[in-house]
Amino acid sequence: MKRSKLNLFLLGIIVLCTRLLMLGKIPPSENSYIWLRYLTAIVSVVDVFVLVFIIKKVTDDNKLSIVSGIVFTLMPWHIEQSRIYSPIMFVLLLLLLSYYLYLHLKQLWIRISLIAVIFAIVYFLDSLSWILKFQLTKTSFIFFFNNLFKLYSIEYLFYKNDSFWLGGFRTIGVMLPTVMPIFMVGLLLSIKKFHRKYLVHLGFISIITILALFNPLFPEEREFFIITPYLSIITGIGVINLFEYLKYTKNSIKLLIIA
Amino acid sequence: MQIWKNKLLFCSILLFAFLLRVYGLDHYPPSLFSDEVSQGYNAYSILLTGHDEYGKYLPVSLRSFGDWKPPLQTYLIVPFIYIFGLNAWSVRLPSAILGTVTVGLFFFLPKLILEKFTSWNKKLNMRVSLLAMIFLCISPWHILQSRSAMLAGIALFFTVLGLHSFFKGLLVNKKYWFVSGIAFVLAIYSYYGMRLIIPLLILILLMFFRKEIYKNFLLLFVASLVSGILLLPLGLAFIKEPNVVFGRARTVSVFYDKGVSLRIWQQIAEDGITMNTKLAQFYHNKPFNYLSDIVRRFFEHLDGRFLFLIGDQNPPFQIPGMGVLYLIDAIFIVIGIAYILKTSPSLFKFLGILVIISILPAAFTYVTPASNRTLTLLLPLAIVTAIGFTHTLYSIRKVRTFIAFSTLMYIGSFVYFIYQYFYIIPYTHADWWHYGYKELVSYVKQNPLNVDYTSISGKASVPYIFYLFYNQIDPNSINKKIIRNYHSDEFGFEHVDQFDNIDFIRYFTWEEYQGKLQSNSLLAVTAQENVNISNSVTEVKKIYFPDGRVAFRLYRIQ
Repeated sequence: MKRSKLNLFLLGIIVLCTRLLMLGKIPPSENSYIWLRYLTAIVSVVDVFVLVFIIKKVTDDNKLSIVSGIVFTLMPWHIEQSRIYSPIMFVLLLLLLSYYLYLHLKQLWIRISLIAVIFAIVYFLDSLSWILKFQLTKTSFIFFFNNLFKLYSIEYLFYKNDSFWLGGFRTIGVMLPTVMPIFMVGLLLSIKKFHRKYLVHLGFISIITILALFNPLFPEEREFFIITPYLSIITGIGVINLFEYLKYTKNSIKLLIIA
Repeated sequence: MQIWKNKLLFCSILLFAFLLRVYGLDHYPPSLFSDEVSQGYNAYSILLTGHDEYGKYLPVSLRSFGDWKPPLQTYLIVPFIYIFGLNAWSVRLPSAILGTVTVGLFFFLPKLILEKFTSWNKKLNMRVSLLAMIFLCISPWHILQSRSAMLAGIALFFTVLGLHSFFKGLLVNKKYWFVSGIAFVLAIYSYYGMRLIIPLLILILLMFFRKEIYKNFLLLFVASLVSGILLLPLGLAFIKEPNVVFGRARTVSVFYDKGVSLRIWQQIAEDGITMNTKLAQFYHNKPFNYLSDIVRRFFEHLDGRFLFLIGDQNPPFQIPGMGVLYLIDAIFIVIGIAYILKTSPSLFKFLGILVIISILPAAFTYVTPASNRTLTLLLPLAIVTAIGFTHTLYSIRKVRTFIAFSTLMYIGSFVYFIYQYFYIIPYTHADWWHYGYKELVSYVKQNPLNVDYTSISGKASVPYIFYLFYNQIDPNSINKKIIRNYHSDEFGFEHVDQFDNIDFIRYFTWEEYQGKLQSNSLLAVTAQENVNISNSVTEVKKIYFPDGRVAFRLYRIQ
């Protein structure tokens, strides 16, 4: 118990440092809008902890929840969005909170009402009004698949995340490139141990993906950001299994891998 | 009855594969590419003189355009030139025939692999093998490579033969390992990439099957010895001339390209303004950037856009409007991967390593994604697709609906590919295949205007080899008349400056050459190059692409 509290405390320090340190200076900002950035940063901090608690509740795995939380904290896209005013951060928090409440509430009608309210708020927050103007007949079949393959490409995930209007980081994707092998391990293990009870999550990822694909501003869409907790969990699975595999390896080598 | 049914199906697929690969070989693709022409002419030269165009006796590597082509394809072309003469059929037929045989052989390979790595029943293995054979038969990737003499097609054949013989040796008779060794060596003589792929493949096979190998170590040692003897010519040639092995690799490697270095320089320059320069250099260092670039290029070959949507963008390997695989394959590949991962981790490991090995050589080059360098990737992908398809078939209830739907999708995709390959490419993209040179060099040879000199621009390709090939110039005489330029261009290719009274201008501009052109001469340039017409410069002929665009313009200089 003490160890888990210590882990959470350490996680908190990392989150606060990466989100609040030099906010307004990195990236630069006008003072009149700085409060929006602080709001987003605080929301992003809460995001991390809600995700940790969700993973703990669903999997009952303390290690996985903390490791995934760390991965989520250090994810470049999440840091980038945390340090600017980002409506999608609020959307993500709402969705994470709604899922957390869903896990704790038992009555069906409350669950359904909660989902409806959350999605209504999400709709307005995320400016999904383009959906009403969307015409499937005018979208090409090639456009759909091109965007799909781009979203789930190594280039986008690890090398060049161009969803940010300035073109994003020069050499970094959604996640750090060095995380790639660990993510691969986590992905393969997730596929191997996939259970039917996770089909709902797969369905959710599919819906978000489709929304992202059809966004007329693609690749400068934000919907895919909602998938980032799943990417963190997959990477977390990879990290845990990697360290399990290296159980008998010297600590110095483990530290080198972390570095 | 079932056996006869399977045999009939096998023969039908093989016949279909043969027709797909052989029909209209001289017109589809629309003309011979420069590499094909080079191999054809060198084969012709070897047939008549025993030497290549450089005068090298029975070379183990063909210098060609300074890209040092592996020789096996050229030697395979020799008997066909003897029988059919020097033309497109002779050049492409070996690749087409071996491509067909690869399809036939590929029926047996998945069966052996599945028998070794899984405990699936024979009926399932048979189904998967048959499906894998069908997928390879109609694969756009394999058809394109089989119908051209671009080395990769025959390399795949020998790799499949080598793998098949190895597994046959494991399961049936160890003496097949001799065939396997010889096949692997021949694969090394077929294509550059195999010089990395085959040793790694052998290493992987030794690791996976070390117990069986250890029990029959002596036999394997003798087989290796025989293979080693076959590799001796290459080894000896390498000692005399290292370019024999490293020539092409050097000029296409990421380390030869300036892209990464320039990017590092730019990042250091940008960051050095706000941070310490040494720190900037530490973060933007060469080892990390090169490694990152190589990994990125590696995964480009697994990008859905390359595999299923746009394919290889480097001529002549493009197929307009589609990837190297059919879009519907994506579904079965995903299902296949998931199924193999769950049911047979050892098979997953083997196929996964095969995927990695297949892409590795291409990842070290700066022209990516490359479909010719990664053709061996087709093997694991075809097997995975077949497994995915079979698993789906066994899992769903409405089997007939599924079969009807998937058959329709595959037929639709196949018909689209045939339309693109047999109509769109020859009509609209003939320039990808260096169309027009045949007509051009024939006109130059005939010399109807009785000009004293001819100048041909080298913008589109390496024109001298087309002249030698299509005019069937006597190989005995070329070395007296040819003036070669051994300085490589930015792509690592060597050119020829002059042959007899024909100049080959590497970088033609009218401003530079208008004063240098001889009077009473002919000038041939591509449509993109400008020539100012005047009293002394008159356009005499145009050579067109099939779609009506101009390929070459010929001017008389008086």
